Amino acid sequence: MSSKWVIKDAGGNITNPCITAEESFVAANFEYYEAFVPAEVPDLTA
Amino acid sequence: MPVKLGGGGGGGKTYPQYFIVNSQTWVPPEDGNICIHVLGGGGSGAVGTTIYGGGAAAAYGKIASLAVTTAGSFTLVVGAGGNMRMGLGDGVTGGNSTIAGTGITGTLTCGGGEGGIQSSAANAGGGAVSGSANEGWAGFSGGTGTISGGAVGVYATGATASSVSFLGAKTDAGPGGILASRYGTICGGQRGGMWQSNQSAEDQSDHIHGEDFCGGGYAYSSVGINSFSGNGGIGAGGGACRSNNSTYAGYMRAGTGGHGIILIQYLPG
Repeated sequence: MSSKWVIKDAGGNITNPCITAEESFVAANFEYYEAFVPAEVPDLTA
Repeated sequence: MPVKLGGGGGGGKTYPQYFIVNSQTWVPPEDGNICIHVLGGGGSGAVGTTIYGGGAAAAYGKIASLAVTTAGSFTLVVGAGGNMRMGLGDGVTGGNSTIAGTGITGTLTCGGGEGGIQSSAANAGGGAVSGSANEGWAGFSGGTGTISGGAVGVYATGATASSVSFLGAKTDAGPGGILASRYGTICGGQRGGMWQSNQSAEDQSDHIHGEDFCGGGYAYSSVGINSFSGNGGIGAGGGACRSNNSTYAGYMRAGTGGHGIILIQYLPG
């Protein structure tokens, strides 16, 4: 399933802030990465 | 999974094109010459009360012609657009799109557009193109975000939204939307997002959003909550959102950045 990922370098610095990819692609092509976590959005109010 | 659309050609031969919206390893399905267009992700807009910036557009880059065979392989990375900003704060920078592979020197990059800025009066900067020009790789930086979103530039640096009209910036790409693209040419939308004020969530107009490669429109609310700005089209910046009331501002939603894309076109001849 496609998701969003943050790509980093060995020092933990972000080298690409957000890409769309399946996890298998990210694991095969990048050594340091983590799932992108969007900011929480509250429900709409009336 | 890339989306394949066939293009008609002389003598009954077709020249397919592939719209790639998800990072992947791509193997050419047939030998031939291809054109590769690359766009990063646009930045999303900021939310503010006195300072509120639109997102910038991503860079655009192109290899006009590259010979490929079915033995080749390419690593295609697609940058996502900056996520929606809700409540006071800066927008989110879009992701970089990159290509690398057989016959390409190194990695070629189209940077994502910077998120709109609320923390200072600066404008968000457009994404930049980088990488070797050995295979004819060239492109342009994305348009700066002002209040509305910046646009992708295909023939020159991307346009910046007018600070007078507040409309999202318009791309210089040819008309018809990206699906009109053919044979080495990429097409975009014709309209940046309109701006609006004091619209409830139910009254939002679709016209606030930018068409392909065009920036999203700005929104302002003095009376209500749940207001939205326009989203950027493909690769473009989202509009900023402003409230004159800091309590309401927590519910203001700025426009998202447009996702990046990589378009591969087989060429006649």
